[in-house]
Amino acid sequence: MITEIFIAILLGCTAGIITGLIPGIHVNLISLLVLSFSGILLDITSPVIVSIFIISMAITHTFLDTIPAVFLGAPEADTALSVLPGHKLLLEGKGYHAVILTLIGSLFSIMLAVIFSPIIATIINKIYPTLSSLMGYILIIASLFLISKDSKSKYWAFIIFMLAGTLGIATLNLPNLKNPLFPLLSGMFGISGLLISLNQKVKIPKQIISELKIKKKTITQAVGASFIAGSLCSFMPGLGPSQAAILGSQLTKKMESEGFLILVGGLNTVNMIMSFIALYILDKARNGAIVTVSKIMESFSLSNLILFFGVALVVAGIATFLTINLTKIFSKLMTKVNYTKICLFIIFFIFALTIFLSGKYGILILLVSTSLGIVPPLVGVGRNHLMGCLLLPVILYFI
Amino acid sequence: MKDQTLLKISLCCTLLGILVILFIVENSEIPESNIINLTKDNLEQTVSVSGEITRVTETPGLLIINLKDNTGEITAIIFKEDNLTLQKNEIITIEGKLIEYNGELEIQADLLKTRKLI
Repeated sequence: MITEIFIAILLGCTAGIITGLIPGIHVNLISLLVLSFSGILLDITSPVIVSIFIISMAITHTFLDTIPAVFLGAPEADTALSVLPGHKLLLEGKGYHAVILTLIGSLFSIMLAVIFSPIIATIINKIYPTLSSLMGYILIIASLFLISKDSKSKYWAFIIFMLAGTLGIATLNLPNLKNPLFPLLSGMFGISGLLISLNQKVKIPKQIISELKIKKKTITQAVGASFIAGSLCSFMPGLGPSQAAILGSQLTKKMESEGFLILVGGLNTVNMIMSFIALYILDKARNGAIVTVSKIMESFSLSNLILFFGVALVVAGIATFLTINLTKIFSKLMTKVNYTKICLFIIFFIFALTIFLSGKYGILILLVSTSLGIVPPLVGVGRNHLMGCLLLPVILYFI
Repeated sequence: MKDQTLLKISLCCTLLGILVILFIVENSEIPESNIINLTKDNLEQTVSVSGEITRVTETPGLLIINLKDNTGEITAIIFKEDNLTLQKNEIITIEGKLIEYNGELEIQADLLKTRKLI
């Protein structure tokens, strides 16, 4: 059993490297493939081992996904907010530091989340019924708060939120469109960012690899905010790490780029850990990886939860090692390779995957969501408002 | 390309694209399937099936019906509306998502058309 667990962890970490580093290849995609082949896999091994593979992949992914967001400007929905501060540091030659800051966030947050999981589980168990009945209104208030907090233009923030919401509703109602979220999110957060980078003819300076100096107070504040905001948002459908980042940054008086990157890095990981708790106490799957786990496992017991927490901590150690070394490799490669060619290759790759996964309507969604994804940076508002594409359908479902 | 030009093109494409997608949503018709052809490969897809009601079970908020065509039988669940009444032997067409419940295929109906009453 122990050998099987370690093999599953290593294979999961390897798959996490692929999903984490290649924009557009999300954990959900591999999870779907695992689910499709679950019949064969469960002949070879047990549901717990398959689930450990998925969890290892998902945790590794949350550590590594800021590398393409910072170095290629190609984030996913969860890392969209790390692009601006990350890109700023990249253009100062500090791309390595940007990723290490998110790593600090991920590592400390995973430890906090595991340590405080019994308390979080007890609180959520008590307040969730009330929370659930008010969910639609809570999400409306959260959305209005996020729009009102946009310092550049509340007017544009509202328009983008509503356009994204309408696009989300239309996409989710297209009959028999497979994997609707893949073209929707890849266009909004992936291809649009790459096109803007190409249009701005970005030149990447030589990257410095040196020890990061940061105040302990900044780490404590950012990790604390990440843990609180991440825990709250994890139990609310439609509110992902990007929205939690805006809410989390309100918990501290003034947060600079460094603190914000720690916060974003941590949120992504807290979200994943909390989704185990949501599955255990609420029987609700909050993301694609956990949906697959819930379908593969017949029941999800306390011993499963404890085992998965242990696996998450082991994976966190491996992912830390991987993140540091892969970021060093990326830092060295960035000045040697042709950035334009990389961007074009990734765009082509996402197009090909969309045809494969979602067909002709998928391409239509990808084109429209890319067009919309280009708007926020051009009008100077946050990309997080694009998450209206999920929030608005969820709000309409609840009210 | 200048940012302002790019912004105008992006907004036009977005608005036009959303309208096109909404038009497709409104006008797309689901081809009718025989019950025997519905398999686990169609899970989470929207399907359309016509047949005769063989049983109606009422629960608070839900109607559970058994629907039979020439090829087989399937269960469909319908969220109850105030004026909805269904009877045994009625011929109906339902559209909805194919789901799996307790290992059996079920249709979660979104749209229901009554054809005629026998």
